[in-house]
Amino acid sequence: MTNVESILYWLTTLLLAVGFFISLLCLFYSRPRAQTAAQILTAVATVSLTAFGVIRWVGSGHPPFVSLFESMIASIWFLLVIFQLIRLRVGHVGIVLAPVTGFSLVLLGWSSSLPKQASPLSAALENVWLFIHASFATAGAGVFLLGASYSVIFLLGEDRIQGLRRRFPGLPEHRRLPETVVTYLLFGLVLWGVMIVSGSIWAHSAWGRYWAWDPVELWSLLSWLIYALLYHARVSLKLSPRVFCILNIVAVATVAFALWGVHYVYETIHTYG
Amino acid sequence: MRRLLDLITSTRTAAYLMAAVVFLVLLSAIVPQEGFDTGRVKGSGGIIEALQPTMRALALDRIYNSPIFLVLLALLSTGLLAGSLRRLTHLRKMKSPAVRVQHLGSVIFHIALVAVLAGAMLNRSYSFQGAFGLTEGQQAIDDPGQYVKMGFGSLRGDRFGRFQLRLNSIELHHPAGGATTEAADVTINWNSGLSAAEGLVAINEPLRWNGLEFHLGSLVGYSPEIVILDDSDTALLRTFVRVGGHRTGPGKIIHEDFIDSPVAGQKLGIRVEPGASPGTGPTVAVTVLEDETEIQAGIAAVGDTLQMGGIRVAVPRMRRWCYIQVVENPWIWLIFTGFWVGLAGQALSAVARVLPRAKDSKSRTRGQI
Repeated sequence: MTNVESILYWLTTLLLAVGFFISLLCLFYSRPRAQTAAQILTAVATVSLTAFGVIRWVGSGHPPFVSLFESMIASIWFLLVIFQLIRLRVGHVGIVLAPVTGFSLVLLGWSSSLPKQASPLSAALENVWLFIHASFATAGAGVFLLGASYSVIFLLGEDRIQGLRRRFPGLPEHRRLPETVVTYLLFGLVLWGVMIVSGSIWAHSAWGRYWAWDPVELWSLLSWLIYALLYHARVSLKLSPRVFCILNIVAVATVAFALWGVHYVYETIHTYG
Repeated sequence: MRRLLDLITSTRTAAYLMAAVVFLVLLSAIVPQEGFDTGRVKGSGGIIEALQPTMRALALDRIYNSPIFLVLLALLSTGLLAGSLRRLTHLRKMKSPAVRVQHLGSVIFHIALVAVLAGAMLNRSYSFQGAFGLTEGQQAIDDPGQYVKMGFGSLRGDRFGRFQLRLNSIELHHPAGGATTEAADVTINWNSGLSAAEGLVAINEPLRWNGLEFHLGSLVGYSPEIVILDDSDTALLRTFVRVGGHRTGPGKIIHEDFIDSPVAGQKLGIRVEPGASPGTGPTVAVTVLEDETEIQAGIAAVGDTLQMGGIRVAVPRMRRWCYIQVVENPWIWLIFTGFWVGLAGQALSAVARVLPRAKDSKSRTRGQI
């Protein structure tokens, strides 16, 4: 990591940390100005992380989602950018600021323990499908994390949501929040599905096999199946909202495992870089 | 009959079947599967070996090929297809266009999913995948005995004897917009000896011919000619050693292998160091081992001879070698078409979910962000 990258990386971490603590307090105490300040800090953190990505892209000559570290940073970036874009149209999305910045901080903390140097692409990775595959993987993770953020808010309980609805106009009632989670889950399924298909097409063009039950492939499919099952359990089988939201948070762990955890546990042909 | 149809097409049945599939796939993530050796949990060798007889007895080591897994997928496909066709007839009754689009997207997705599963089953039955290990100048025949690794579907039938594959050379390849890489220059001949196709095979750039695809393996190795001479210059051994490559990290490969020496009790370690730049040739590090202990070592460029104790080791020539994968996936088009159509249906359904709806719509799945 260059000096500029390092400064931007730690600046993002600092801004998100402050934003997280302020937004967390705002869930329990009514402080509209503090909430606005937390949103501004998160917006600046998003700009800082974008600058980090652009500088790294220019420096390495390839989009920054090739190494494990870059993949994690890209997911945080997608989470923050999707959050900011939705906030432009839907003001009450600010309610998930605390879980969004919280998840981002956890991933930033994890990424700080990983090798950070940018490496050149190997021949197999020089394929347009890599960029489609990796960008949809990280975007999918971002959307699933947003859905999990709403699940966290739902678990705060009906009374607190009732109070928060006064501060976040347009926020759905407590009983309707799981439907919002379902919407994010559905979009996450589409993005995660494109990730699986594009990876499969890439594998076919590079090695002549489209599916090999490699641990990363297997866990990606598993997390997709788990979300699909969760969707049907909620929409068709009327799984209780509370259990659904808890399981939705558990399900996001399978996505994190498929993306970043498999390498710790399995021998896999999926290598980063 | 109607009850049976209701049971087959119900979401509840589909959810239970899906839960069973998830359970089996989860199990396969823990138990290493026969023929899929990459799925081993790190450091689990001892436990896995101890449990292997039990897992074999329960057929847990071959889940993807087990009848129960295939039956589950078949039941799920039948239910999805029947349920989707049934839902199609209900679409006209829906008043809100957004709800209709949402359900239409869902129906498209589920029918496409059945197409993917059908394509996967057909492909599995009719596919072929084999790998040749070839050194520059070597030719292989499309014969089961010549493939180093091979697998094909149960309904594939006799497909052998179609062609001969010759590796002419390994060359530097400059793909448009990409970094320079290595590619295999190959010629495919019919059995009559007439050339059928020729061209370069590179990573991400397979050669396609007659429904087959020829892919370059992920490692391109070195094959030095090793000549071992005694004191009277008599060749005790003359062979091209196909040195294997071992990845030690991103972009880092060690080209190293061992051969038996004609001297009793000794082995030769051969390690090829690629040239640092395109202009410099590779060198060969030779070590003589006795009881796994190194007793002699030397480095030779191509054309050099090393004096190593009682023998001399010469490296007169250097060739390259690689694996070429021969692949035939006749139903891949159905799988990928199903994938894309299904995702388009799913995206349609997701977008329709957040669209504004008619006020009279009473859909229970009305979504919002």
